[in-house]
Amino acid sequence: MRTFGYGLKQGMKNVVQNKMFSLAAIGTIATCLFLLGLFYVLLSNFQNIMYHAESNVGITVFFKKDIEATQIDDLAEQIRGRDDVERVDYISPKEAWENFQKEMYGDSTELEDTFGSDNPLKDSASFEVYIKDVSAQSEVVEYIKGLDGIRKVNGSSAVAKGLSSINMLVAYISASIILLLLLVSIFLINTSVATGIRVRRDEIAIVKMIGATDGFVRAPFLVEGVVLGLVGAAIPVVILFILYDRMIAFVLDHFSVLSQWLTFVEPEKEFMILIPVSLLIGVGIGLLGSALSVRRHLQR
Amino acid sequence: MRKHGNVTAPVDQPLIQLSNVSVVYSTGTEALKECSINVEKGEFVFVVGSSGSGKSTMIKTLLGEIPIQSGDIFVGGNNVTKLKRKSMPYYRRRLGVVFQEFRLLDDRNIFENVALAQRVIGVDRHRIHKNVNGMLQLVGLGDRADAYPRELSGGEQQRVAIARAMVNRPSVLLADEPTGNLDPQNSWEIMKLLEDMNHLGTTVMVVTHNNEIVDQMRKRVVTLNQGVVVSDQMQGGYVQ
Repeated sequence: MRTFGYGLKQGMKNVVQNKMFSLAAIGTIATCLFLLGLFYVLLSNFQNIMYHAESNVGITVFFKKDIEATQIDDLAEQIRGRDDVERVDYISPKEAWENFQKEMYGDSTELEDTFGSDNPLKDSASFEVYIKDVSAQSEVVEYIKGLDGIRKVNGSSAVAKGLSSINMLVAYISASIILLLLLVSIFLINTSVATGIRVRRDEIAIVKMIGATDGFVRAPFLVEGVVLGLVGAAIPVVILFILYDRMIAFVLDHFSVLSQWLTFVEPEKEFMILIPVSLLIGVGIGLLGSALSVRRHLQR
Repeated sequence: MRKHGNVTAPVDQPLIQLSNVSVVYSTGTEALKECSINVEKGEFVFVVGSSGSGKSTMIKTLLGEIPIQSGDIFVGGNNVTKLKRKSMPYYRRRLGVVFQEFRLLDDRNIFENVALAQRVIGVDRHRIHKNVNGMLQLVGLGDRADAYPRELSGGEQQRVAIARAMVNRPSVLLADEPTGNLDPQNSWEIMKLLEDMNHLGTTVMVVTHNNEIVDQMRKRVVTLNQGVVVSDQMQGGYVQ
């Protein structure tokens, strides 16, 4: 407990006393975590946009002509029962005809003039099936085709495959970049702390000579690492928090054509993850960097 | 109760016992060759010899800083050569060490430099205050507790180093060239201080080049030459 108290006090003192080193270490961590945070924000928003795009890729299911209403209900239940199905919407012949008219002619009454109250799509009741993961589309299509009372299933497999591949590619690239940034952070903080420790090599030797345990020697350096890591992590989080709304406003402003496709993650949701993760990573690299550097000197 | 060593010596063993100790550095230099000396509790011993004779190596082996190739070293009943890395700090707490270059922490004041030795062993704040101030009085620096090392003379800095070495009341005080950076007057004062510590019951072992002091103090003198003990005299003088 007394060792902890000493470590805490001495560690804090070291941070203040070695200003240049502290600033360099904080700058290093802050830069790496800013890049990491920025990348995370871009990635999570990209994934959010992809998720919305995916959930809009529906499968249209048409029924046989003589199907009963109760049979349609049963089919809906069966399809909804699958884990990979997000939702199933029933489109009545009336809705289908109205949608068709709207899509083809907008508010024009041209079709109404031709067909009057007849509905040429009266046998075209359908389901719109939305799935959770677009890569499972072909499986769901095959399943639905196998059910009784189904006439035709339309799935946009090319779009599904395209979205799925983009998602995979982004996931691999993201994982590689995040890993690389983390490794660079650890290397840089290790180098920074090593420089700081080299300056205090005599101090370590003296404290060891008078009978300090490894824990006693290590404690101030670990406290220092944690403090530098926390401060280094807090700075980019604050900057990203301030920039986030502005970035969204900028994108929506300059790319308004895409606004229906661009669905951004809400700031609260985004930072509920980013804040603790950044602080944890900051503390982690601070601790790891200090522990690795001080270890070399303890072994001497 | 924490165990410090895994091999203990017979009951009547001297406080410090080096038996046939040989040290060879990685460069191939033989620093100590089959060296044997015994130091009884309460003794004051000078270790003298020319540069490279192995004096400092002897201190380092006693501190457990360097490995030995053969022989045994017992201090206070513990076989230093067999101590595990984890036990080493607890062993070192029983020794006080003073170096030629003082080795004080420049960013801490005198009080904190001495107090560090107490903090290492987990003494509470109240007792640290009492013990450190008492020790600073003893070395004649009672009024300089707030000063920083750079504000003190060499002699005063060495007094602080002695206070730090002694504040935990070690049974052995090892001093490696403690007067090497001091003028004659300060050298004498430091030697007197070490003698005072010896009178308080601490066994003192001093490595030195200072023939004048050795000759006048008439203490036990162990002389090393090229890693070999060439003489060991009670109330001896400096052997060239």
